[in-house]
Amino acid sequence: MTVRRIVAGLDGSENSRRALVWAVELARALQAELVAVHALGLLDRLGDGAPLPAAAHREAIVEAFENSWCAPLADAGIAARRLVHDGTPVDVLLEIANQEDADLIVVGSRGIGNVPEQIGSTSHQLAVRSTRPVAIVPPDATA
Amino acid sequence: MTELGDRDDHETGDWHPERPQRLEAVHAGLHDAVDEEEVCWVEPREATIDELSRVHSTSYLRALDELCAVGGGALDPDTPVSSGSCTTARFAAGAGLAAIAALEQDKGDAALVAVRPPGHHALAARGMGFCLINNVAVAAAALTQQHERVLILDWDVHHGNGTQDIFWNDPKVLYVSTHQYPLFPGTGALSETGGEAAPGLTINFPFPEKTCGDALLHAFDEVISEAADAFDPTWVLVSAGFDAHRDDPLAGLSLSAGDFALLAHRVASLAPRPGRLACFLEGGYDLPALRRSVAATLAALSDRDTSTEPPTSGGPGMATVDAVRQFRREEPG
Repeated sequence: MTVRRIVAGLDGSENSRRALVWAVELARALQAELVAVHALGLLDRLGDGAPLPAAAHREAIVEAFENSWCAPLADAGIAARRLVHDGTPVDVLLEIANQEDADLIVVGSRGIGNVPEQIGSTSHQLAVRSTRPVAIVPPDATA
Repeated sequence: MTELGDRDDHETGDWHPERPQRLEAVHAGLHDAVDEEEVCWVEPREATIDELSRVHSTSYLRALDELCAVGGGALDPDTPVSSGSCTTARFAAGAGLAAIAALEQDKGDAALVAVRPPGHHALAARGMGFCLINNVAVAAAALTQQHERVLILDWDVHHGNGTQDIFWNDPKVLYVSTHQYPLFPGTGALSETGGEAAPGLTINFPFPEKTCGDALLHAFDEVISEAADAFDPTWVLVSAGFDAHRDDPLAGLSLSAGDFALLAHRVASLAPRPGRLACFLEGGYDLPALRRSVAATLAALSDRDTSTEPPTSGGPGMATVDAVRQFRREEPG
């Protein structure tokens, strides 16, 4: 099979940054396009502080996503796009993966505020609900 | 009036905007608006599994129970669950059923179901967006089982994706939502109008940021009233979120408490008779604004005017109403 497009979910966490780095290496090796995605929920985080109302901080969140969280895309030498969409992380990733006809979805194994073994884990829900391959990148994965 | 009182054991954390103090603000708003002796207090009860499973899958209800049993966690980054959340959510849903029963016994002209967690984002098989159980949907499903025809008017600033999805193909429910768009949860485009079995029975008004109250009233006068007349509801349920208020931190519409009073007049006029209107608390996260908005709503439903905030006008949004009206003419369902 050919992997032409990879969708990677970002939430500002260190784990999601590591997953993006892994996805960049994979995209480079496969000459695939990488679409970095952030889901805007009701609440969102900027840095390590408590969650903030996403609507009131929308511009700052988008700016952080495009310029800070997606920093591994800069000078990566791959085709890449950045998308922000309203909704829960799982819904948004599935929707964009379908829209983009992605061949693979990449997320970190544990994002902000999630506990993997619980039903709310983004990676767990993705693995259950997605009809497309999902790569769940653990914190200590090497590219 | 039904409220959770000491049954509220849904802990979301000090930083979370969906917090127990919201119910205190609603309680204060009630007392700002009406006299104690005018209020019939209805004791909430716990909704049964049978009542909940009319709209939620038993596997989801079981998973929620299991999550609470292990001390809680999170359904998504927005939606924490504590050990007491399941019981609280069941009382919240049951409070709506108790309010409906009280109205059926002619104990009042209208009900306010002051509960948390809110419900309108909760899907059949998944909670999200602060919501665990879809309270208004549980009430509507109980009514449709009695062959009632239910209009659900959702004026929360966020689209009620859960309610829309649950009744997407139900010809006994007309779902109307006024909300900011684009915004969480990302649904609620005007082209979303209902499934094959219920064409045209979902109506969405996706308003742009800074929309004022006059645009929502325009929606009522130009589209909603006509649609309600054609549907001929026997009950009107309101997903009464107050986060479209201009002070709310979670969104960007520009309504005032006075606008909610006018909206309350409009929805009351859609009910077939007194005693067939129930308002369910959804969002509303600025506590003073929530208090003022609840007070204005209840005062309006009591034929009083106590709002300290005048209605708003002049923002964008009129074009949205015209677009919905045009869309319904071209694609009536």
